[in-house]
Amino acid sequence: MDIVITTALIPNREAPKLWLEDMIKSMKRGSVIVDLAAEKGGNAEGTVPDEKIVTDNGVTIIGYTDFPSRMASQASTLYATNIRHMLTDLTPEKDGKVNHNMEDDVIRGGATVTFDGEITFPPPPPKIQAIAAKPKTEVKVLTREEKLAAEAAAFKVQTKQQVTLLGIGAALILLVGLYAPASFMQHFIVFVLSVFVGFQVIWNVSHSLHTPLMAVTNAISSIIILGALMQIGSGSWLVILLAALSIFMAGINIFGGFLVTRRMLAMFQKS
Amino acid sequence: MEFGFTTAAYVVAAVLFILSLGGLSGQESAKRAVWYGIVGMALAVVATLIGPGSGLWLLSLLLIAGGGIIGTYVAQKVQMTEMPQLVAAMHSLVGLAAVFVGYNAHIALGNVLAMGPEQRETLEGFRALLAHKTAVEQNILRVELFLGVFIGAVTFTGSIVAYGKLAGKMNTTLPSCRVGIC
Repeated sequence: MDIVITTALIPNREAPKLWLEDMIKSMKRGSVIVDLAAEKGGNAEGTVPDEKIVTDNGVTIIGYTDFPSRMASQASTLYATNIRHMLTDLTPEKDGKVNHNMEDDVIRGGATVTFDGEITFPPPPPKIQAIAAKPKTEVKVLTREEKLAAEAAAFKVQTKQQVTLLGIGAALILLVGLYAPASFMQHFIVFVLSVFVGFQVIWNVSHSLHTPLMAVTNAISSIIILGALMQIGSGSWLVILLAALSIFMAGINIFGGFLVTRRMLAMFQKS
Repeated sequence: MEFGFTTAAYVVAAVLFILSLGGLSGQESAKRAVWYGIVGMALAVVATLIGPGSGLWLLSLLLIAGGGIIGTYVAQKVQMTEMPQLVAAMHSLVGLAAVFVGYNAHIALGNVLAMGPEQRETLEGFRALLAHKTAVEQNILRVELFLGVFIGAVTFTGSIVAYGKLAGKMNTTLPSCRVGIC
């Protein structure tokens, strides 16, 4: 507890001790206790009436007994604001002339007792509700047949989308196959399959594991090292230099990437 | 070693990578999935090193070991709250490596095309692959290299900016915004 406010007063009796010394000792430095029962001895042990003290462990106990007197300016401000708004309601044309509008609930109910020689107190209940009740919209409860029909319709739409995508994809691949050499088609097969498998696999990753997913796909992407390994043996010094740099950087990422993923996953302990 | 062995190893590695990503559907299977990824990566790298087409394998091993030491050290020292920045920084290295590999293929292709036919027969490894490409295959290769270098460069610069933003080192307003065009 950082702030405690106590207000327990019993008429004609001493205030009961509710917040005891061991509780005060367990509060951290800088905590505050506002004891509103200080005039009758206080609910906290250690309250000194009319004074604000600080205990040994840094807890402040406020025991003022004259809080209403301390609120004089706040009370005046609130009351003055209300009167000002009342005057605004009474003089809607802003010409200084009082318009005693008996249709206005505030003037009729809150401020008028007699009007034109008649007693008008107590006032009728207010015409305007404080919160307008919204008309309840009808919630359509679908019958079982309607639910099944809706599901079948949604399934049909999804089938149409999938078949269209498959048709366009198949046509494109067949078109590529007509014009591309066989060696390219071999690599293209691998590419298309890996895109498809990757899509399906990633879809199943649970939401809490998206950051480890980022780390592990980064580690796997250092497979580029194979390209550099193939290139380092052949060619000019520039090729060898760039390939060597690539192997070095991919090496950093292989070890670093998988270790980072393991550290991240180590945080997920079965509780 | 035969080329077929390398291809088989690649297939096994690919399966392991797919299992590695698929294992992220649950928290316990995710820890096992990281090991699948590690084994797959190790298998692919070893198969390439001992297979045909690679050269200077001792230098490669030393470079991998050196990079590995740095990677291990950095990954263990960095605080948990700085993990995303670290992943972004490491990924920028991969983007740069992709750019270099693309450039290398472009340079090697240029070198091979400048050689006469007798010299091309004596080539080994990567350049031998390039030497046997037809014109159509060369054009396809050029398109692939263009895409590879482009995507790699975007990865490199994007990851660096991501690192800067995550580490709080970078002002996140677009430069044009500061002169009023947003």
